[in-house]
Amino acid sequence: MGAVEIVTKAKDDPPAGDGWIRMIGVAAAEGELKDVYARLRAGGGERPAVYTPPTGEVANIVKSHSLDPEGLGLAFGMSAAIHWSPRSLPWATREMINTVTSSANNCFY
Amino acid sequence: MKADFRQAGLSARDRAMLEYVDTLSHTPWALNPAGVDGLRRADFREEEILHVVLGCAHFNYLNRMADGLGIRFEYESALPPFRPRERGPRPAPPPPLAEPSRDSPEDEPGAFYRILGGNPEACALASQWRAFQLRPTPGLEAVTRVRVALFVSSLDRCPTGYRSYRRSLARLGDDAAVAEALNRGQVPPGLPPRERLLLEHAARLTEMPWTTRAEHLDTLRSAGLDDRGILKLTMLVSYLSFESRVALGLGAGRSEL
Repeated sequence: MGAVEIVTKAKDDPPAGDGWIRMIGVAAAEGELKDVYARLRAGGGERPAVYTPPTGEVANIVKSHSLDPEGLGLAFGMSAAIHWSPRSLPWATREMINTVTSSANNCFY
Repeated sequence: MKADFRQAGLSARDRAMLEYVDTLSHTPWALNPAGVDGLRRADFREEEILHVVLGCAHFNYLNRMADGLGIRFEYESALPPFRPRERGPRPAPPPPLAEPSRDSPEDEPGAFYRILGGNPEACALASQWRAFQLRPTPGLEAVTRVRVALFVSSLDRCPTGYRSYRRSLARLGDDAAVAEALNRGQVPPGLPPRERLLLEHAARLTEMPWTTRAEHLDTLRSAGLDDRGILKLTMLVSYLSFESRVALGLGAGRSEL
């Protein structure tokens, strides 16, 4: 491998909205999206409050899927099956995995 | 922990787990059976190993969604601001995977699903999620989706995805030369500019997702993708990072090479 070009992450141009594409929150959701949000909210009833954004909205990472309710349901259905089932690892262990994975990917969010 | 887990005074068990997670995220092709044996020696049961890999793989999906769509961080935190590490491109992966040694009438990666058997709910969802990602949509037709899938699987040197998507592409009647180039981790030079743009974006999201900028999405818009199309492409590429990491982290498909 040749000389390594150092790339620094520079999200110094934060989006004006919640992201670079249009997103639909709970209040404006209709039809299938409204149903998926309701299902996710019902399934997340016992989760620690720390996961609820201060706005009271769904998290932006969830909302980023809002233009495709089916994809939203599958992605976060998988999340629940991995992170919030009786088989899941302890919370602290999961957070260590999430933190190191995000650090490896230089992911600010 | 955020800056360097190796300096965080963790137990040997946690350290072994996080070394595996770090490698699986950054250079997934570097993992081998000895790595999983290391987790077993550190007292991880099979079901725990499955969930270490699944958790890491799903965050590889979420990280690419977040950086690929420029999602604003909306939580309050008393922790110091995140200071990203300076990180160059991923180390060069090993040579491209060889032509599959035997053919199969099926496109479904059976080894991938078998290895998820310890979590039946996740296994069932994985099948639905994969089918959803490969379903053609306006602007991302079947051939385009499978080309992206083969390309990303090849960049990650994931034999399970590579074998499956290579068969799918052949079944769709795509040019064998295109598949060969994708297998080498190259954007085939003969493809139309729009198709090349999609593959170049897939490579960025796969290899260095943190370098994605709003301008890259503007370029996709100028090529005809609307916000929903951009979301669909980002979901597909991010899903493939999940799939590759599950397969490579658990050794799916190694015996079929």
